[in-house]
Amino acid sequence: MIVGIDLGTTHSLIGLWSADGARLIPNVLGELLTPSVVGVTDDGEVLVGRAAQEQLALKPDRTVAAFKRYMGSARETRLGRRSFRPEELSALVLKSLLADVKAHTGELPHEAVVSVPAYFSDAQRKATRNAAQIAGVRVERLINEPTAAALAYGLQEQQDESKFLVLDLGGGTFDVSLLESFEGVMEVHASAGDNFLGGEDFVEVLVDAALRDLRRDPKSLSAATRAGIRARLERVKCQLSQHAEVSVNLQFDDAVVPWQISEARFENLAQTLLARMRAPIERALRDSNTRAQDLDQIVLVGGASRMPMISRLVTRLFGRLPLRHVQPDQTVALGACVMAGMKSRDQAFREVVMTDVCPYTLGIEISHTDQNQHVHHGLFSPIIERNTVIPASRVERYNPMADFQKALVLQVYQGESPEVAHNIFLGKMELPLPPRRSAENPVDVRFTYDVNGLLEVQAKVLATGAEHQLVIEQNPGLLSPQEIERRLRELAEIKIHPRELQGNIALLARAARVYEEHTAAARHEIGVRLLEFKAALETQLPPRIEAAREYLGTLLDQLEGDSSPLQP
Amino acid sequence: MSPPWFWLCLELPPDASVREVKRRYSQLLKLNRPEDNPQGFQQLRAAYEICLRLAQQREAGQASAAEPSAAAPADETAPTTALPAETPEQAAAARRRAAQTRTAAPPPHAAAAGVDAEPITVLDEPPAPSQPGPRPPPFHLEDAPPPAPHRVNGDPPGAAPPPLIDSDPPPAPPHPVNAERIGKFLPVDIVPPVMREPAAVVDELLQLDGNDETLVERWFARCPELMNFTRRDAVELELLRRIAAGAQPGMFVLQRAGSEFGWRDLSFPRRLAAQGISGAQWQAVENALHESFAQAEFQAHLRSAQKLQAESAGPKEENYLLRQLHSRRGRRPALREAFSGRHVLKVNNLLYAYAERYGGRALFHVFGPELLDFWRSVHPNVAPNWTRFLLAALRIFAYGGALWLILLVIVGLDHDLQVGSPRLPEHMLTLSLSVFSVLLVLVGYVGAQLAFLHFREKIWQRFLHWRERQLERYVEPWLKPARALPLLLGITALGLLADHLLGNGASALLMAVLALLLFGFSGMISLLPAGLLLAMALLLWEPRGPLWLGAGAGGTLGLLWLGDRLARRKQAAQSHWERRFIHVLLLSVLLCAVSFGVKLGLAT
Repeated sequence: MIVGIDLGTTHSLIGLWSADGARLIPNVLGELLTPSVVGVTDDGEVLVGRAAQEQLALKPDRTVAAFKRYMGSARETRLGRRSFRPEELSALVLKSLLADVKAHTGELPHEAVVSVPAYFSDAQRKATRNAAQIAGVRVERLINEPTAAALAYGLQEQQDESKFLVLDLGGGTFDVSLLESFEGVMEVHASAGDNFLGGEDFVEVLVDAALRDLRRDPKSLSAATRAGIRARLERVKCQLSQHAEVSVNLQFDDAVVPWQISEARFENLAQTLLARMRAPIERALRDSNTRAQDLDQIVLVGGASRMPMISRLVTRLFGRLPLRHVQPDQTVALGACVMAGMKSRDQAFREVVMTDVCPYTLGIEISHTDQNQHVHHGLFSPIIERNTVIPASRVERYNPMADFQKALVLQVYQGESPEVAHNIFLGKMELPLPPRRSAENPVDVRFTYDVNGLLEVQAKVLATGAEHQLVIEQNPGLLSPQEIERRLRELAEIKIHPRELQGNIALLARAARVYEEHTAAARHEIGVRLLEFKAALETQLPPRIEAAREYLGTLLDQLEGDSSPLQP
Repeated sequence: MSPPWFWLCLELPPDASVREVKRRYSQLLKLNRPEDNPQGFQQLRAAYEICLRLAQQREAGQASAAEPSAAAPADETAPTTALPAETPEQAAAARRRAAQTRTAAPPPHAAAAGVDAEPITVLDEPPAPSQPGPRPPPFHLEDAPPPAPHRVNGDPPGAAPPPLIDSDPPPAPPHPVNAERIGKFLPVDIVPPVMREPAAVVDELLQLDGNDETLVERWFARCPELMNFTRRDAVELELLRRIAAGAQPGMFVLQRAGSEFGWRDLSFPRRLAAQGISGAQWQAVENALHESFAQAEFQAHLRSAQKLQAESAGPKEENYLLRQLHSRRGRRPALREAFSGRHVLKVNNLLYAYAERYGGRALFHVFGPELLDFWRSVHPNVAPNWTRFLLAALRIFAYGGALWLILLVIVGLDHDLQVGSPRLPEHMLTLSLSVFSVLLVLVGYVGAQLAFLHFREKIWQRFLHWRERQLERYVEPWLKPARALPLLLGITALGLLADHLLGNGASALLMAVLALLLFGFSGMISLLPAGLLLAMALLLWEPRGPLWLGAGAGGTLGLLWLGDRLARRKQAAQSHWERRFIHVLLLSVLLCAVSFGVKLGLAT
């Protein structure tokens, strides 16, 4: 069975393609969205999902969120006694999702289609693949998130011929894709984006504004306080999508301070972020030679697109109302399920073909001698230009710098800058050269970029006719296959908190958090119901546990729902 | 002639339409999916891109050819902006409607400035009855043979590509995907902003105070029409049109608009041409932009409170002079404006200070090349030119004329005292003629002086350079040992031979002359007298026979040459033993001279 997974910065979803269409699988708490948060309890057990998210505010040193931003690098996060690489954290989330599928359908999936931001680099994609391998599932196809959303949109809309723009503003990344769909063919014309622009940055804006208004030095806050404030302002951000003004009580070490913010002020504060959204849109339009008038629709995707300022910005840019799914957080996952269905050759997809593009330029580092015999080093020579339809294979010819050079070092870069210092390094390979003069020793370098986003580099030394199909040496940020094996085994030995009990853990942690946020009267009430819940847990009788859980849950809902809107 | 490979790959005739190309590509794509058949897909994709581009170009060419009459009257007006008054939704809806109902009704659009532009989709389809005809059976894709790239029907590649039965699209396959499961995409629930007309936007922009940078910056950052991708172009065209008609925005407005719209980009003319501005209109726009920028810059400079030169009284009188000059830009000033030497110096200093402060480019744009050339050419320190000569002549004649009038009056008065001398006119005539001839002489003198200066600076220098170059190129190589030694030996041999044949001092004379020529031309002024002396000595000394003569001549010449080469080498001239060697050489020359003198003395 092939599943489709949306591995997001803030939330992850899993689903599959069934006879009645794309179906998302709920997790143990009954929710379709699983927060991408990993935490470690005091006993050393690993928590994934809502339970860990509740723990984030109370124990920030043992919990980590938004680790998707570290993918592709070697940054290790220390949780409790062990430090985790970003691939391992993602693998833990994937394992939890797969366990949900097994619980729901009885079958453990063997293959998955995972979504990545369109603008993810080669290293980041490889890291995602490695994470899936560590989690024990095979991932052959990575799908770009805006393409997935476009699949979900395109199949639903069924238009003859249309050109549309998909803007995906997720938790951590912003992607733009321009697509054209005709006769069952969906073509991506251009892809662009910003890997460091998402809902999290908007929360950061709120945090900065709050600390500035209340005249608190950010450095004077403890990590726990800061995490607590951040969690609360995250909820404020969501409420600002529906209410014009929100007031909230922020808890510092010494006091509880009220603070309010209006939606208009939020938009003012976020102006720089909104301005950053313009550049990828303009680039996508320019790369595909499309004018804004030629677009038929603009589709907003991603949880953060619920904010009215995003819709307002898009309306200002294009002069028309964009479309948005009823559930914007689920669109990418639904698209991934569609892709999973396509991959499993479901008969429904005989008439649908999708082509994608490579969103960044790939090339090598060269040195160039100009007319004044001055040598410039560190220049970037593109071989595959950005927004070429993949699979693509391009070849360029190069000569060594000096006569009788012993070896040629090919350094592969990805990026748009003419100097490699500003581009992203992917890997390098060394090929030996025969002893010839430079002009008689050309080397053909062929880049093949396949549909799954894997880059293959082939170099042919023409003087001898020798072909070197060398594997690019691993990027220092990535794991080698042996490392992956080792971590797979290690992860299997980590104690993960039992799945069935995660719901209770989540509730307990949530109660503890709400207890901290509120004062006397509410605290008394929470305390009473919490004791009842714990007593019910001791009895281990499921009906009593259920009843107590509901009782506590409704109280917490009431209390949380209260931290909200001013009367207009 | 067989059609090119890309049409063959898609199995279409070269005159296929865009729609046909896309349809055939979609059919073939389903057989050559990227993940299953990468090679086939790549070839198909390459063919598709080329065919699509060709078909689009052909249709664009047809569309523009179909409306030359409609476009012609629009050209005469000042840059017309065919404002896309239709909203994008209407355009999209129109396209869809045209595709579905197949009528040739022009889509709803506002005909701006009388241009009746029809979108391409309408021209694509001929007017057909609204009832679709009988549908052809859908293509059976299972019948396609396996090899890559797969073809729609099993025809071999060489056969003529079958024309597509294109009157109707094939029936849309029943959508097997259950749309309800995926969910609905709905328009967002906000009120779209109201966009103003470009004319209103430009009005507001022109009313801004162009000297307040923050104000301009803020307006540009907040203007909603500029953020909108579809409205920007219309606003830009309107602004350009106003500037061409004579509006003068402030400097910051122009600079900010230039960076916002990219007026200094290389692609600016091409972009305007794509929007429908013709070549003549573009020229007008460009000139107007230059004018506008220069004016704005100049006004900003005038407004600055600092004076340009330290020694001037203040910015006010500098501004007065600058304004005067600026008002006369574009025309070459009359010669009489440069009459006063002091004024010339003053203007030149002011222009120099302006260039120092604001840059040469600003100077050039604000005052114009004719004015700058003129004032520079009349400056006394500049190289002689015709303008200076004419100016000098003018001054001479002006002063001379004044002098002549005074003299006339004096002579006339003088004669008046004497009673009615009949020779007054004669005197007057003589006086006039003499004054005029003096003036002419003066003018001639000035001219000669200028000509001499010109000669000295230009022509003599050029001659010197030429001479140096010739020596370097032709004489230097011969002074190298590899060439000079054989040459000298050859000359010696020649001298011996000549002496043997002719028997008198002709050989010595010949050698002496050659030596003189060789070393004289190389500019060895220092050793020239030595060479002369030696040559005379050789001539007048009793030759003791050809062998002595030859040996002596060759040896001496060799020593001379060696000494010169050594002296010329810069490093060598510093070292002690070489300097001593040269001293020895000179001493030997002196000894020769002394012996010659003694010989002469003894002989008498």
